[in-house]
Amino acid sequence: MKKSIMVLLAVILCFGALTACTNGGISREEEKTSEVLMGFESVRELLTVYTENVEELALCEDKAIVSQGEKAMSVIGKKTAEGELAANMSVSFVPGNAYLKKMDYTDVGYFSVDVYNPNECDYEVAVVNGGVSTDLFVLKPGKNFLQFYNDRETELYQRNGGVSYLSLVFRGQVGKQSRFVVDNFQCYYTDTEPSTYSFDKNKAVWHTFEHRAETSLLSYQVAGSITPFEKPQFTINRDSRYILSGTGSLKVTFRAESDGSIRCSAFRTADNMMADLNAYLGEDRYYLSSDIYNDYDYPIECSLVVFSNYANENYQKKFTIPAKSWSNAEDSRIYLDEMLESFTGEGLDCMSIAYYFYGINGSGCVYVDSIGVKK
Amino acid sequence: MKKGLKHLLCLSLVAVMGISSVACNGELPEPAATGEMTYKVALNTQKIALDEDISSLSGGAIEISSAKGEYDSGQFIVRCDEKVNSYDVTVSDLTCGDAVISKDHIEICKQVYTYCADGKLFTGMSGPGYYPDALIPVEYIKAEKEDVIEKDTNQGFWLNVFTPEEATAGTYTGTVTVKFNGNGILTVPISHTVYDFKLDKSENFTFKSNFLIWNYDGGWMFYGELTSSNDKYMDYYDKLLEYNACAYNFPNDTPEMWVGYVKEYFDKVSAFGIPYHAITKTENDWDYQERYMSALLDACIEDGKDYFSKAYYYLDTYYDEYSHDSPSVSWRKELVRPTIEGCNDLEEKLIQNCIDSGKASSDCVYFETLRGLKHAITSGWDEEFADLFELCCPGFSALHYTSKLEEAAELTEKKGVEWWSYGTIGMDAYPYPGWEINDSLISVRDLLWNDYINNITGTMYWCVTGFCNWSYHIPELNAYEKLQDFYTTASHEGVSNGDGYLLYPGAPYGSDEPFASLRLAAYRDGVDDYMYMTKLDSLYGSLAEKYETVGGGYNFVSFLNEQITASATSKLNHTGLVTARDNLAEAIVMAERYGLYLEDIHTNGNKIEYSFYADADAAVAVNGAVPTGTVAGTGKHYTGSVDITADRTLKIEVGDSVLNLVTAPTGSMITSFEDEASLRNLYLLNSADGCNYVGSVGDRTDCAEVTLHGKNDNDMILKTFKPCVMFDMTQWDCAPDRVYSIEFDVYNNSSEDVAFTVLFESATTGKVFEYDKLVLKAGEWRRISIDNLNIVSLDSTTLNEFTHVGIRCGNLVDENNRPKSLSLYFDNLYVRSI
Repeated sequence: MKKSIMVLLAVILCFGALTACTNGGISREEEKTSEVLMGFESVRELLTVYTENVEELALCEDKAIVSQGEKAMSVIGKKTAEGELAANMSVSFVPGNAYLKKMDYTDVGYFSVDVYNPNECDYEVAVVNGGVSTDLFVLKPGKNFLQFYNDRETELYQRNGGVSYLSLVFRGQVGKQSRFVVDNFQCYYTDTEPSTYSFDKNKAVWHTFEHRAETSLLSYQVAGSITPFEKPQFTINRDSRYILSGTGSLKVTFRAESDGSIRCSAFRTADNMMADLNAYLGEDRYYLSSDIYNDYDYPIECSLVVFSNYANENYQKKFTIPAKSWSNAEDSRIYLDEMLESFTGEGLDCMSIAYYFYGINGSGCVYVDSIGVKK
Repeated sequence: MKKGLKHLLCLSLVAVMGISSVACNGELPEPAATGEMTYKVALNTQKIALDEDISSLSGGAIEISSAKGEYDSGQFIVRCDEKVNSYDVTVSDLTCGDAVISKDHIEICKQVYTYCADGKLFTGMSGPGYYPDALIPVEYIKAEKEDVIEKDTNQGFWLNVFTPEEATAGTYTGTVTVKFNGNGILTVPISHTVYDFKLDKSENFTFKSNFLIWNYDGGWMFYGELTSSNDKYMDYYDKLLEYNACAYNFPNDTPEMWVGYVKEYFDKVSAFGIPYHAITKTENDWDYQERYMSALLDACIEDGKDYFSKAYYYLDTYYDEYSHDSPSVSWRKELVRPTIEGCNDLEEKLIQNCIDSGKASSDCVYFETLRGLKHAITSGWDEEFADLFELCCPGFSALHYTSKLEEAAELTEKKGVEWWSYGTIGMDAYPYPGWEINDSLISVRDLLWNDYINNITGTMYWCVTGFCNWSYHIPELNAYEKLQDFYTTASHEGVSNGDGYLLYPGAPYGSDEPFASLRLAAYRDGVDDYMYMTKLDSLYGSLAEKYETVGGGYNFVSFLNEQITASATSKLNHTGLVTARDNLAEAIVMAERYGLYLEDIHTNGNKIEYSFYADADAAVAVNGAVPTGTVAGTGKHYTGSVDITADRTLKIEVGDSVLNLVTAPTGSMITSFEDEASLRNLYLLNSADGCNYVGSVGDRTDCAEVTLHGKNDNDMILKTFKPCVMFDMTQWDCAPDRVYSIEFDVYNNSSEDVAFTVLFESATTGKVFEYDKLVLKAGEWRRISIDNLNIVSLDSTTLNEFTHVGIRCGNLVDENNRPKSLSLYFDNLYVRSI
């Protein structure tokens, strides 16, 4: 009996020794479609996490909560006095350390992270991907699975050289100390190459909003700092009801506070990414065109502001957009010759266009299509 | 047969296990050999790098010495000719006859090595390499399985020994045992001398400090910890205090919380800061500050204790480094006056409120202390704020030039200005002593000796927990990049290695407490040295009264310091510093035991002149001879002189105690410029007129006269032209690395004070070493002394490159940039060598 066990052991070990060496021949694609980037299994791993308004990080070993491995990361926010709004709390993962070695994410299509919400109420969380994109989720009490797209093709992604950091920002609530458990930060590989998008400002219409990457060329317009929950969200709309040309338009979602007020209801195009407008000056009256749809059920006011590179000058045009309607075509036109007249110096050297919306109360959205020069 | 089969199978199993473990990593398993381990000991002023040749170090006992109630430290370095895969280090009790110091008072730490690239600001003592800094107790090292030593590589261990107050004086012995690789054993002896006096921290802890723990973005900055709570802050605070350092803040969520901490810690600290809250970078929350200061004033009155006596302001948001911080210079300078005046107004308001509410009358003693609170200003003196500045904290480098020290002394005497040194990047760079990991430990230690001599009463260090890459800020996260490894990666690597932290986080090793660094350990020893000095000063003050004379310990400490100091630069006189400390301790013992008051000891030519007092009935001898004393108060006064002997010692015996003091070596007069031929000693650069022999200047006869001229051929010349007067060292009979001191007299024969740099220069390589900066006052002689050249932090090869030493001034031009002349006289060039 003992003899047979010895023989069996020897055979098993021989097999093990041989098979253990064959892993090197398997390609990554065959081996895995996803990978755990951070499992939050040790104190040292937790210490690579950047925090803001966090009182304490700790290892969670509750098997009912841990979704991968043996441990997870418990995050506890700063204590909050009764009646006081807790500050938004964030944890951020920055590639380039012993626990998050992967630096190149161009082969990653999606990420996911598990978040356990031990509170009895919903919480909002923003997933901020290196300043490239922000995805908002609502955390229900209990386990939550957050999956979000890796914006590989955006201009910002390319400019930043990939994922520079990834943050989970938990929105604070009045009188509550934020508590969550984070686990199983994963990436999902894709064999598809990132679709290429190249912005061409020399086209007459430089924003057609056909490609998701175009949204990264827009920024919110507000004085002072702003949280991810207050920023307008930019997405590409494919609903033909809100498209005037092509197959896409820009959907700008404004997020209201509980009292209906909106912290930021303005956005702008990227600096110095407009066509050379001087080429369009002449006898033909060219104008800057933006088609804007008001999805609110009441009229709103829009102010288009063109910023010049010269001496902080700008040119403004205000008009009203009726409820559930596209803007009047003539209203939203900014004639180049009129603008030239108002600016000092020779020719036009415009930096960007900003879109300000007034009279908005409550969450909602507007759509924008075809930003360019027309006649 | 059955047995044979079983053996065969077992062998097969073992072989297969061998294959399976080897096959995947391609390496053979570690040999089981124990190897031979050897050790060396080093002084606690030395820093031994990972790959340093340690063959010249001692193989004897670890030498430790301390007063009762004091921590002291020692170190040993092991090497093994095989890789050490595991080890344990234990220590025995220390015994002296029947007396025992328990091993519970001894902590053994592994020295963790950090890679330091050549710094842009600080080039290091020995170039790039791995230098020890973090001190991790061995039990944590073992728990993390980091008890590994690579073959033929240094591994240093550091011993922290606390001597209980009730310990008996004497020399204790014990052993450290290193068990390694299973069976290997190495034994290292310990010798611990306990001095016969007590270091009472509540009485002697006079050196003030502000070791900042940043409150960054609303929380304490602890990148290496899992929490930034107040409890964690106090863990760090307590560790700093254990190392004689005080942080600025106490936790201050509420005034009650803050006052509670002040009360609890008041008797343990040398200084603490007043809390403030910045609404914006330019707007102070005066209501907030009033609540805290008012609460402390109430506590003073309630407890009858002057809590403000150890308090000070450092409202850094508004005036920190205002004089050099270029992006903020314009607005920060504008805030200096309103900030200080705002605090003055608040103090008056608090006092008035206190009187109005009937809590205290107008002559309340705490009001005076409150009005006397000082602002720690991180800059040198600024005449623009002459009515406001009371506590200046310039960088180390600014407080090591003679000219700056003289200016500081004058401001202290005339305006009562207090001085602290300030350590921060760029302000403590080579060749000045500093805090960098690749600096020698003696640098930090030297600072405290110099601070005592120069009446510098405290120090600031800008951040003790910045475990981050300060060069890389991540704006989106409002954070600095964390270090790749908190223990082996230096912040500011290649610029100023290890700048921004002196503690190490405990969390990665599962410790609630942070860990100290070698730098902080050296600082603790330095502050202990400082406490010895102030204790001696206090004793000598009392003894001077007894002997109906005046004085304190300053002269004696100055004498000791002469043997170890070198103006302006780091120095490496390890044994000299340890000897000076031993002598200091013995002087304290002899003062307490026999009333010995060493009033003055100095060398004069080839003589040592002394003056001291002792109890009338104490037996006294000087270099073995019994001197004749005269009655002084209730004791006796002894004065006289002895020849400097070959071993340069002055042996003073009182009762059964002996003080062996080391004096400066004798020297020789190179020239007193008594004739034309002597002028060959002078070498002039950028001076058109050459030099002349002159018969007399004032009451002096036989001098050399040099006339220097300015120049302004073009803008470049205007800025770069620097006249020099140098002495030709190649004509001396000793090499520069054997020079102990160079002394000469200079007379400024003009109507203006002129600033000079004392420098060495190589005529062959052009290398320049700026040794000191000083001012020659108009119409005055000044003796310039370049001390201890042999111990500055330049190696012999570098020192011996120098061919000339002398003084250099800036271009001599008037306010309209027109060249002008300066006449100088030189006399008595005297050189001591070892």
